[in-house]
Amino acid sequence: MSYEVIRYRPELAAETAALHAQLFGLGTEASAAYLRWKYEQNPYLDAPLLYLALADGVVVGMRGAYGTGWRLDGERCVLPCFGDTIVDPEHRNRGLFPRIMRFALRDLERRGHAYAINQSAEPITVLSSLATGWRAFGPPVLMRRRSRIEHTSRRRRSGFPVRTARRVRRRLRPGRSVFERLDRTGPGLPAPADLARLLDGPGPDGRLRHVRDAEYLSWRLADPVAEHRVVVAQSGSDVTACLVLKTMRGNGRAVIADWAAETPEALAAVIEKTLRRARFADVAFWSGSLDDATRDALHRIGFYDVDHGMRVSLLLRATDDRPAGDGWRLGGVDLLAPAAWELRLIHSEREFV
Amino acid sequence: MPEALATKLVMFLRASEPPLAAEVDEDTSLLRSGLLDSLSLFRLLEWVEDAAGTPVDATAIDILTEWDTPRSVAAFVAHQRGA
Repeated sequence: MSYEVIRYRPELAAETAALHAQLFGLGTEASAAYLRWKYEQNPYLDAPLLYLALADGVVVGMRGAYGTGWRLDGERCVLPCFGDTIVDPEHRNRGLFPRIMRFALRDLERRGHAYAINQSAEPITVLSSLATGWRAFGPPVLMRRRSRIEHTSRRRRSGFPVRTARRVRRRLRPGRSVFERLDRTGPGLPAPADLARLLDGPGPDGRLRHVRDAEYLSWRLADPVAEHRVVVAQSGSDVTACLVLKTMRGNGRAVIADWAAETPEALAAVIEKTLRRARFADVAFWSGSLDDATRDALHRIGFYDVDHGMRVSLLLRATDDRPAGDGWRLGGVDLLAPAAWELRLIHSEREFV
Repeated sequence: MPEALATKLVMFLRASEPPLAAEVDEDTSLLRSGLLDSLSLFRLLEWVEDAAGTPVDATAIDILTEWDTPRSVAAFVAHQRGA
């Protein structure tokens, strides 16, 4: 069998989508829409950075890198973010993953990208990545809160009351929007420009801040396999807090993907109010980092810390083969220091729930 | 002790199913060479945790350097045991 690694070509779109469908299980059409959105419509890159392994001319492996925007003290930069990794089961254990990665990294280096990141690695990808020179700069903070009904269902798997089980199943039923109750009171989605004013945060603070401007949000909220809702809390005409809720279609679980708040208490208040109204069975809160006051405020409303071990990792790699010990820095910032980053789940494909 | 551990690891790797694509000795490059696929890497992690008698957070170390050969893995395990 002869393998070669190439950059994506439009004539391979159907084959690529068919392979990707194995990853998400959403069907070839949904995968095709997702790949078009993610790689061809990405606002930061002119050309899709999608790398394919071919076996005798047939697509059998892929890995993608989509553009992500960052701001560091007023300067903007683009970091390719890897994801969508799959090798057809019949072609595994033949070194295709490292081969695709080597090709991709050389290509990114040629295009002027000094670093790449990965925010959504599965455990198996994490280990393979670490073995090919990636380094972890996480882990992120993951917290969750389960409704009493969901909590009970997990604690009492044996002898679990039938009526309660039905109620849990109803809430998690595929096809039923997890936002159904929330939608009755109509939070919907504000215009991207308005949302950007709420989320794009204060000025420079010496960290790499994930850009959430109108252009980015227009793209992000058009994700064909995820649904988003935005909740805004106001005091008079002043916005005191804002939440972006996300769910993957058909998943039935919600995650707080992004937020902005005047104070930790204002954040806790809007979350508490939203959860009372929405009645999610299970909600997760994810952040690259979290200050103690915000963490305490979330604990007070029933969130608990999740020890996710290697299940969730934030990974970084220099696109050349310079080892991490030589200093991976951008604008003087040590990129392997978790405190160097301000990032949110809205940027990732994972739900972490 | 690291020498005996390295030999044990070599035997463990030689018994891999499916077999590895190349012969392994104490100084064979496992990671830089791409010899271990993702499943074999997981098995190696399990072996290290068993041998060290403690869970290992692979994200906190530079495994490309510390685990590249059976000999370097054995040194890592010996260090963990002594820690």
